[in-house]
Amino acid sequence: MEASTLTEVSNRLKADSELSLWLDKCAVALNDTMVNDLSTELKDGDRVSILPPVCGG
Amino acid sequence: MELYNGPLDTKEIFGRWLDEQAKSNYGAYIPFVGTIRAEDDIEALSFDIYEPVLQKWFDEWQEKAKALGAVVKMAHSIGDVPVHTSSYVSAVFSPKRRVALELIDEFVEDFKANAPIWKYDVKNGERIYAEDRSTPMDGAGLLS
Repeated sequence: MEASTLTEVSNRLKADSELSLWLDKCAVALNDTMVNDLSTELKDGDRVSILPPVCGG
Repeated sequence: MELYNGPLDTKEIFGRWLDEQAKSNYGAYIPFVGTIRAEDDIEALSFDIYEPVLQKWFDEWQEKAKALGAVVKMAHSIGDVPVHTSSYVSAVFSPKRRVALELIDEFVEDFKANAPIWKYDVKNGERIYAEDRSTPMDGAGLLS
């Protein structure tokens, strides 16, 4: 996906009706580090991971 | 941190951890074992893990433990784990019991809330995401 910030990623994913149902429950990692800021800038090759609700153990 | 395909050999893991720390002068060693209970007609639970994020989560806990003079350990299963076997063990070593008792509580609770591991019920050979028992991680909803 082409995007320069997480806000752009959010807008693209919200346009998908099936995926958008999951977004309020999912956390986000950028290059395997958890992120909490939508204005985080993205560069070529960055990997954004969408992490659904967890239950280890 | 140790990850294994299938159920854990809990006695081997706890015995080895105990041997490794035998001369470290820790006064307290608190092991925790998570065992798969037979309920809702499941044959097994099954697990997916996102290892890079799990490793970072665990590394942060090692740092927190170190600041208290303690050590945290954990092992978890990947894939199917039959009922009455174990999918998760963890432990804390510390010089005195109070730190270990508090740390094992915080460590296991944060593990349940924030370790990137996904659980599935296995019924009739089918894997079903355990959505109703799962918890959104800290920071969930950023993209909503």
